[in-house]
Amino acid sequence: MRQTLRRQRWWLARIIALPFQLIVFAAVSFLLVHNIPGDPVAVLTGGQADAANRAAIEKQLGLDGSLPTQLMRYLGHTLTFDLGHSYITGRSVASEFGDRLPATIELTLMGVFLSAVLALGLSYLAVTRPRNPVSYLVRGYARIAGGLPDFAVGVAAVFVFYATLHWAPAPLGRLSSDVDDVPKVTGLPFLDTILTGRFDASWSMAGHLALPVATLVISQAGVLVKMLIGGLEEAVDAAPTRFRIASGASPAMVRLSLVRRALPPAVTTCGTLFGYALGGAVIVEAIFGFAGIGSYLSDSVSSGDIPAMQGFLVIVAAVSLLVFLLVDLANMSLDPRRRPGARTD
Amino acid sequence: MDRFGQLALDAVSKSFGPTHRRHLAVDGVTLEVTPGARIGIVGESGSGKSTLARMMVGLDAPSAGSISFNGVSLRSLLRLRASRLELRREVQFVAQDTTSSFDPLRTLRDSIRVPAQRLAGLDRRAADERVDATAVMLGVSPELTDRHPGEVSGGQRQRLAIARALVVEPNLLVCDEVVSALDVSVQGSILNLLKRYCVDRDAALVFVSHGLPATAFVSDRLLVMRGGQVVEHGPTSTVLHSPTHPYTRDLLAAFHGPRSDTGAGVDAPVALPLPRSQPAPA
Amino acid sequence: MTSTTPTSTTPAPTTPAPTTPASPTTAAADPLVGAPLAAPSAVARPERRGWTRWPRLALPLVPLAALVALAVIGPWLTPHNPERVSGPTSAPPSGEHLFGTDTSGLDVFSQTLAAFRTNVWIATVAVLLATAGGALLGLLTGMNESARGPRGLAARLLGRIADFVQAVPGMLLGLITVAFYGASQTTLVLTLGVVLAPLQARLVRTEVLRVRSDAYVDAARMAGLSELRLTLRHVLPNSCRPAMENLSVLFAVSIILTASLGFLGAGLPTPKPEWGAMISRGATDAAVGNWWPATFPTLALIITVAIIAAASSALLRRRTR
Repeated sequence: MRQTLRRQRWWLARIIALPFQLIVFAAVSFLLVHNIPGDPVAVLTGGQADAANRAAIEKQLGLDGSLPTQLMRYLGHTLTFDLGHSYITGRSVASEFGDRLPATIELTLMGVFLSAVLALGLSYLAVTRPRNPVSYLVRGYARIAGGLPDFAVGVAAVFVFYATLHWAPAPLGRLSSDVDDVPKVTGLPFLDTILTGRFDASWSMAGHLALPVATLVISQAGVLVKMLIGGLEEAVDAAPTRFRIASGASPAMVRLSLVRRALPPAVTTCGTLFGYALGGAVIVEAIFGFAGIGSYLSDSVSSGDIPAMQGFLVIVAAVSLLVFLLVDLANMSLDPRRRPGARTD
Repeated sequence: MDRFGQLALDAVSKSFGPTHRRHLAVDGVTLEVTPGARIGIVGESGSGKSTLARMMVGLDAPSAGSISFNGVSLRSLLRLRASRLELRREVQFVAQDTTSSFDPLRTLRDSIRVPAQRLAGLDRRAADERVDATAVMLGVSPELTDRHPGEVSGGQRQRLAIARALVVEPNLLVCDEVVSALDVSVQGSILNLLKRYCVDRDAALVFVSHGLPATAFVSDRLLVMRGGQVVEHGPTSTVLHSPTHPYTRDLLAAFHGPRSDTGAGVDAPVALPLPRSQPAPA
Repeated sequence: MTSTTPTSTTPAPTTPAPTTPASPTTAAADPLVGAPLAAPSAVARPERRGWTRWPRLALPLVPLAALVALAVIGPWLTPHNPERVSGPTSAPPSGEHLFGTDTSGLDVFSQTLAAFRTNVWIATVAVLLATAGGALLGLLTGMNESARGPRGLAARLLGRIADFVQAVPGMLLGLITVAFYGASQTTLVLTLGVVLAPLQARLVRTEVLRVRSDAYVDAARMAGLSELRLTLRHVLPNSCRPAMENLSVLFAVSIILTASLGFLGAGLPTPKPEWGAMISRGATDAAVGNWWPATFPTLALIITVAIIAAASSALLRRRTR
């Protein structure tokens, strides 16, 4: 039993550490917010609050008591998934996120998944058929990786495919206005259209999603292609590959071993990409008029809604940490050298 | 602080790795280095001899036991700037790595001048003269020192690494595998040089190597290490002619070829043979 | 003995190098070129190769010089006041308005030109800040993280914090920080610096872990240098190359991040010329078929990023022999 535990320590430790990391992050973001210049009560009341009024509002906002008490109270609430209430609308921040986050995550995942598939295909082509004209294009694309801003791609896409060619629907949401809304099941909009059997809505949504997802893929996949080409080229030349070829392994086996060894850095990049794509999704939502956390963020930023922004920090950190945990676990199972304790220094 | 009088190691051990799988690299070594003594330490790779050498000069701290210089522990000498500089002036070290022995971004002269200025207290001009003189002493043309480390040969680099240690005219020189990476003709001249320096100045030498002939040539006392422990210790001639530990006998057999009294195999081994018996516990 | 300071007699790193007036940036990139060198013992030094290949190497830097010039004098070249309405709204490009006007009648050409200063300045300072901070962080964690006791503990903790900051998408972190502290050039620069520093720190740390076990570091210790001295003299110069190579990528990222923030409305306040905000305003134009208000700032942005990438790879080629 103890032996098994020790052998599984590499992933158990990471999972157990996650909540603690989140608490630390919540505490840091709380202190960060606390140092903001300005007085939230004055902002809320327009500077009209008298002493009694002020005390009541501070109590309501959780701003009464010393800093440590406030911090402890905030952390306690966070642990029970209570992220406070919006200064502006009074709605619970957590439920606002519950309504919007899944849609954004769905969009992000579509972007990352398609980027990964596309990048794997393109880089494999570029490495195995270096003289193919498409390979030159792929390499050129990889070279400008990271230099294509998602908002520029998105605006260009709207201009070309909607305003000029009229191929794409208006950038005003996920569904055309003549399609009825789809009842909520999982919160992931596209999945819901399938689960409820509303294939007319699926079709409409696919049309609306094409440009946004393409925008994400075009602006994000380049980094991954660059990384994979580098990794594959290195792996092609590496000793284990030569050994496999020399010892007469089948081409399929050689290819499999190639990809397996080029993969860990690419998986890490996928994790980073998820972060970028999450940021990109916020921008894409703004361009294409999608409902999601993007519009909520813009609204709370422009209205100075501190609990909403604070909740945003914590939730984004939670999502990112979860993704990085998955990335690490994937890499550690692909490559045992990456497990803790295997380190040589 | 006085001139170098004595470097004493008392039951020194060093372990590496996390707590649940510690690896003992050096295991309870006691040793005394006095002025003019030339001590050779031989042993196979992983016997802990390099770690021992690094601890002697204060580059690694022992996990247990103590090392003292003229009766004061190295640890406290290293803590204060003045005594640290004094210690460095008396005790110098040449490492085994010839590829990274000099900062690739600086000229060799830049690197060699530093100890001459900081430790020997010379001004820039005098330091440059000392660098030239030391380079000549080691058989390297002074012009070469104005190059970068990548622009000279490995043998020249190693001579200059020794020059860097000798510019401060130390009274104890610790050499870790300084000739192992060089060809035999270069080895000979460097060994002669080291021996002459020590004899002329009555300086002490600790010479760590896996090569028995080279070590025997420069040393008057010999330590044989295995698995972090000293398995044999005595005057060089005694150890060579009447070894007591089976491992030493195997080691000697590897260099002398088959000899009836050691019981080694019929074929002359080309490399160090593995000992047939376990080393005796200390 | 203790008062001996070798640097006081070493001219190379401290003496300002005589710069070529044509391109001050290139001379600043290599302070050692042209610095007076000590001449001990009548020895001819190998010729500095940089000088003989100078013209060919300087060629890729011409666009960079032009970019720097634009960033410095751009705001004075504008035909119209970039922050004032100067013509009809949404007018297509013409002789009077080279790049047309946007929905509120601002001259797109003047705005694009004036924004060079804003965007290039913010990105440059942010990248320098991130690199300095990242190098410091990388050195601290790399040199100390395997030490025992509180020093190692602190270094490991610092490393974890950097990982943490890196885990959160930079744009969202930036968006919220800028929202919290108010949008100004200072906030933007500091935010970008904090967001990007962990990237540089990671690169430097990896190198430090390799360099610190090199024999010359021990040799410097034996030569009597203190840990701080040898870190600055040997470890830092030998560890910062990947971070230097990353500068152009970082520059691109911060140009784009600044513009992204501007695009989402968390950038500088509206009339201030800034590419991201211009593209954001131009997006509504693009949706009704007016291509010019978004296209020109986008082109300016992409060209800037390309120039920096080309110049940095040219400079790096020069450094590798």
